[in-house]
Amino acid sequence: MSLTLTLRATEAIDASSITPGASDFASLPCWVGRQRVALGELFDLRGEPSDDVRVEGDLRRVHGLGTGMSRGVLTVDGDVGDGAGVAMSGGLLRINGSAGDRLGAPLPGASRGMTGGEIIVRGNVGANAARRVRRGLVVVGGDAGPGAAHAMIAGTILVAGQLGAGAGLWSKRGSVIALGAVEIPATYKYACTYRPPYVLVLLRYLARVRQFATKAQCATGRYKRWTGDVADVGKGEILEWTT
Amino acid sequence: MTDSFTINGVEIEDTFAEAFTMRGARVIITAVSAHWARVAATVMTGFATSVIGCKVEAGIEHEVPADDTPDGRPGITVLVFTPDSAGLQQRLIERLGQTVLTCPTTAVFDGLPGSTDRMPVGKALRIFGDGFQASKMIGGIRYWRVPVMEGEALVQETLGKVSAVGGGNFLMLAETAEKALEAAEAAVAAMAGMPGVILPFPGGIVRSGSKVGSRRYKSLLASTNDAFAPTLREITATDLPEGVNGVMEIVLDGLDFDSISHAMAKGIPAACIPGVRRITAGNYGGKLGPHHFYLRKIVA
Repeated sequence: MSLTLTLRATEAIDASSITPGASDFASLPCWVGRQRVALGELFDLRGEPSDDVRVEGDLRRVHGLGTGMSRGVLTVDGDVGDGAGVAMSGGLLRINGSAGDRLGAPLPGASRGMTGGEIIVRGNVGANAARRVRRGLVVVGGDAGPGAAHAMIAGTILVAGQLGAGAGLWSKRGSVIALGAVEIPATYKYACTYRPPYVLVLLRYLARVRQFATKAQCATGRYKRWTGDVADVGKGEILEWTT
Repeated sequence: MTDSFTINGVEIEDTFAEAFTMRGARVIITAVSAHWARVAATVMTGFATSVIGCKVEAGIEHEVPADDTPDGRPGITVLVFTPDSAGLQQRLIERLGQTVLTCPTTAVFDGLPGSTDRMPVGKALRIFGDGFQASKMIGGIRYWRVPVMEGEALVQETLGKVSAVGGGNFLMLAETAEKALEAAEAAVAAMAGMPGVILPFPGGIVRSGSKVGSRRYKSLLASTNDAFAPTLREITATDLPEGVNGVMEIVLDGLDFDSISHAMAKGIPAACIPGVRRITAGNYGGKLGPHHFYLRKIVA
């Protein structure tokens, strides 16, 4: 089914109730500023409720899309606000635009971010993407803001563009795949330059199944492996593509 | 002698090949080049001609173009068969661990994604990583990254298992041993690369076909098929017609009945060359194996 935002948002909209598999979409609660509003009043709904949900419109001030989603596909056409895919545990969140801060991060106060599923963002993402992620895959087609993969427990974030400062700080076992520029934190130690076999499988999967193409050289090239964060468990890695 | 028919003047005996139910797996091995994928596959399928002495039957199925493999590198598929379910997992762990994990640049993927019966083979192999191994989930499939001197070896966590068919066969009875070999070679060439089937014997051909048990040695599971041994024509109950001086056999294992049947349909006519007197098949009267490949149905 598809949801089109009809309101021209001047205030922040919390639409964290929008997840695939919800039953009565029209009456789902949303917040516009401090006011509770039924989803049906903000969005034009088309089609039957299903596991395949599409959200359209100017969503730059719409936050929390796909919060806690556990299955299905949530496709967003355009840029979204903060907290998309927060605490999600399964399914696919596809953002055909850019996303704000805290993509796939934990709910406020929670110890774990995303625990499963996939988030694929075609554009850029803000700060703290994939923060405290426990499992799952986050893919960013553009740049990622500061603090990506902060305190990541496990799982993978791939960034095709540039990574902001502090990527992977306090990561335990997470993987940061940097196809673009990355500033390596002082608490990551250089291991080797090699061809990680799983990256080939991942890039191919993204190209074939998710229609997310990367440069051919990323599959044929070598990666610098930085292990860290050595101030924590130190089993994480930053894989920096080096042509 | 039952009703027979001919192809290219070669008599095809109206009989059937009797085959058994086995457990089968398909492994996709990829490597930096088709050469290294084949090296790994060749070594993995070594000493795997017959379950009688090798505990496993295995062979190369076909090459896979780089475009069709999970990691975009050249690949090759190997089929592995055992008589029992538990044995298949064990043999795969041994063989993949010793021959593919060790082989430069290789990665191991499951070739039976549709099978719900899964064997935790990669999960067992991962402990070679001595605690340094790490897993990755990609598209719902778990892989193990095992650190090795080259870098990392990648192994899919589970491999599929299916009920399969082992022991499809046919025999080429020829005027000379050379003609029998030539016919068998032609049959092997005709069946090369067919999906779902392997020919586990050397070059696809067995010269020492066997019968069940032994007339003299109680401990033997199998002994020479004296009925088809030309040197014993006058001193045993022979099955060789006049003028036959050499016999070769081809054994086929397949992921299902039809794979073997389709391969035999290609192989048998290819073996009908001048100098071959008769083509027949081995069976035990239909009492031992549930799968019967009637030559008439297959090629007529």
